[in-house]
Amino acid sequence: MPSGPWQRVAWDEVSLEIPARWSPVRVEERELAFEEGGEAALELGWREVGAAFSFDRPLGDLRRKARRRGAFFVERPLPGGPPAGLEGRGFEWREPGRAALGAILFCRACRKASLLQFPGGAAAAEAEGRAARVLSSFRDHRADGRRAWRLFDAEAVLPARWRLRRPRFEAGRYALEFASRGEALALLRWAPAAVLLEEHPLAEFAARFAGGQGLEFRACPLGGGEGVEAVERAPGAGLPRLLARLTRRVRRIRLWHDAARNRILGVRFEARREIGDEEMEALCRGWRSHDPT
Amino acid sequence: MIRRKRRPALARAEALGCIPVRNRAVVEERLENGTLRLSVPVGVRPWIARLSAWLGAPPPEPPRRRIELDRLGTAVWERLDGVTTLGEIAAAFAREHRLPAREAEAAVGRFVRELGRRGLVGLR
Repeated sequence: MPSGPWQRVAWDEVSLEIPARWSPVRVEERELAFEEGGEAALELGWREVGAAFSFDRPLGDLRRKARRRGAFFVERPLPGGPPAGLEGRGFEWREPGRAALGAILFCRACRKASLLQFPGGAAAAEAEGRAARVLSSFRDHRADGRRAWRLFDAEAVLPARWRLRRPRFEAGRYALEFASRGEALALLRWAPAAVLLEEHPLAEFAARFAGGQGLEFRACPLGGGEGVEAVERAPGAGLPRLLARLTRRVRRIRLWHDAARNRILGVRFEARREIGDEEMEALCRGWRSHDPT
Repeated sequence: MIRRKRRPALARAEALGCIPVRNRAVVEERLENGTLRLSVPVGVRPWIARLSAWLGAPPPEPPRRRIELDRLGTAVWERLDGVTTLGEIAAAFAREHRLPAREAEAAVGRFVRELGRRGLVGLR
């Protein structure tokens, strides 16, 4: 059995467990890649497929590609069998200096097909066991119909209507930008908070770095910690309000200090309508940071 | 046209194994808030040196470039002891600020690269 701690990662509707030592090296809308110590460890991609999905087609494509570069390709049983509720077929390819163990998974419920490849192949028993555990933990949709994103030390769970537009993971600052029906949502995270807040109090920090220029931030404690919030109001009533709704967007921004984890977390909502308290609370509850594994 | 051959970028593992070494000519100045201001001499332009030699004047004092570090930068600078590797510095930085290892490596790597670009450190 593979040793060491494991972590659950999630991206959009897909989630799986991987060794904690693996770190993301490529993050796309529907693709992820992880490495361990500079070596590729896992590549996965997924997409919705039509009603008539057949494993033979993607396997045929992989076989042809392998043949073109002179690699040996063979179908083989999935390590550990397919994950619960999914169908799957396994394969392996080898060429001088490179090899990979792979799986194609298909879910009849959400009609998603996923391709996972474990570079390095199945040479070591440990690699086989590790692949089996990763595959058994694989889920391609959630039972509650929501979407989740969990990478590095950040985790977001949002209603399914929000589509990720732009993820940014920079040293010291993460920003996940979502869109839905003309509305924009940004989930923000900064670290290390202790140092950042020494230079700027939270309200000033929110105005300067969270897109809150021109807004007045007020104290809004969250989860027992320090928090600030600014609400931009749509103007007046009647015609001016109607015109404003057609032409400008209003912002609601909330930032809070997660002192236990030394992070600043924030939610910025921007739309032609004002967001209600309950909806804002739900968005904030769905955005959190956890300790690095 | 002659195209200069681009040097291959260091692999991550190699880069993390490098030891950053301070430029001995750097002068540190501790500021009131505990952070550091570094200054390093920059080369005198050759034509100025030649002109002052031709005029019989003493060689001009090289100008110094000054860089003020913030608290995080100061903490990393103080770890550059000529023995500790970039990877070890990043690991300590991650532990201290409870950051994911990757994020700490990126932050420390970028900072040290910037110091190198300004002639304050070299990599061994």
